[in-house]
Amino acid sequence: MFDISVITGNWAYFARGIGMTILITTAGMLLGFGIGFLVALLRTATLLPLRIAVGIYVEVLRNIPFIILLFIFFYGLPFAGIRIPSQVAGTVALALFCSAYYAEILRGAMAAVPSGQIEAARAMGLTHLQILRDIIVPQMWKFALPPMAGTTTTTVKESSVLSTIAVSELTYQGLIVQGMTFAPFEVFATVAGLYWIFTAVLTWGFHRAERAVGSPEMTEVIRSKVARKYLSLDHRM
Amino acid sequence: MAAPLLAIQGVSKSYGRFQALKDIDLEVREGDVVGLIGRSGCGKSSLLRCINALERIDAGTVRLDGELIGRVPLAGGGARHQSERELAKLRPHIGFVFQQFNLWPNKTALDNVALPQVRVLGRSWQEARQTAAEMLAQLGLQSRMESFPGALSGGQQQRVSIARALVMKPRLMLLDEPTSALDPELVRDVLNVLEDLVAQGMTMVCITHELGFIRAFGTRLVFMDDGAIVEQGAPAQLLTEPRSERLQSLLGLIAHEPLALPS
Repeated sequence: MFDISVITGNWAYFARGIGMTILITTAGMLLGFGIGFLVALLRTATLLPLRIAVGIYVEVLRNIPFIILLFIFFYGLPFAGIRIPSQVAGTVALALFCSAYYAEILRGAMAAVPSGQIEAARAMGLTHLQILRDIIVPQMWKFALPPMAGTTTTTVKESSVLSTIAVSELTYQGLIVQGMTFAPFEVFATVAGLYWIFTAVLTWGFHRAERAVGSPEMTEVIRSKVARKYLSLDHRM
Repeated sequence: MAAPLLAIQGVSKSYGRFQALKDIDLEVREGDVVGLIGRSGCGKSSLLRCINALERIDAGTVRLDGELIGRVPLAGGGARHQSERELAKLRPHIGFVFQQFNLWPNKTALDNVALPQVRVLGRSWQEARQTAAEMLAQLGLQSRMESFPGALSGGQQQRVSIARALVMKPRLMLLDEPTSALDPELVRDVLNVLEDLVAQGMTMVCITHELGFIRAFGTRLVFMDDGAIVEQGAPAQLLTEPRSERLQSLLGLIAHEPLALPS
């Protein structure tokens, strides 16, 4: 029998847990996206040593398990004389982890913008940075968003690993309630449900964003009231 | 005689082992309209792309109005290639029109024409859009200014791309098969624009198989084959009495196109 009282009696633990998960994953993803974007830009740089350096960064981070990255960060840094709270260490490790994936996605998305458009811009006298800002970056989202949704979901799920360094996120809180109630099925079904709700909301957000950047003409059509009425787009929005 | 506007001397270019351009010499004077023809893979596109240094040349020099573009020979032998930053200052003097238009699909027709003015010439958006609107109106696109490229026909897109090149007030226009990607009924729209440009005295180098256009408006026809210029001369003469066998056979292949003057 599913004992609902396990949830109702301990809802504060779950609430705090999902709250912390949302906080650390959002912070980690934003920071990771910032780093990833920078890394992707540096990979288009003309300076070879710079390209190699960021290439190594991406390859190292993508080829070690997240839990090892986390342990190096959390247990390793104190040996270097740096002591940071576990939430901060966990968030930064999460950021580094997803930054490598975001960087590769964004690099691919930049490369997907047709080269003829870039040549046209070069032929007109636009500089590398202007081409990035005006041509490449505005157009890369339609290529970047679908795989970014996947990486973002993965990052949320990987954040459960932070329970191993006692960050009081959702999985950690679930383990506490489990220890008190000895009801693992009820506890982890609840934890799973909460993760699912969070990732579902994120995925929905990405779908909205994808539609918005689909194509400029389509966006115009969707925005127009007449089109909404006659193409019955409303129920699909 | 005045110095040539464009002087190409001893230009060679290889892609790996394939030599695309073999020691090309070509001079284009102010007001010249040069038609460039040749088979696919003969090096005509490469030559055009080397003129504004979209491609690096391996030997030789390209000069616009005496100023070197791309490869700069050094006193002690060897050469250096100008950086993209240096080239960005020179390229606005050369308008380039692509076979596939290469408009920016995230910008309206108006902003396609306005953007380079803002970024390269330092104009305000308001001023740039004003100039862009005038140019687009001249090319018969007044009703399509707010359209995105995806909503325009090929002929309209190509006219936008010509407008985008023209607002930079180039000294020279390079056109790489400007009508080849168009449906037959749209070719005329673009040719009309090119004819107007000729009438305004624009200097042009145009890769095209619209021999009627070159015959009527070209000052010179250049025939390339296998990376070299095989023969050149007055279009009417070259088209009626080709000296080389290779030009004869190429003209034979495209002879189904009307050679007569456009009405």
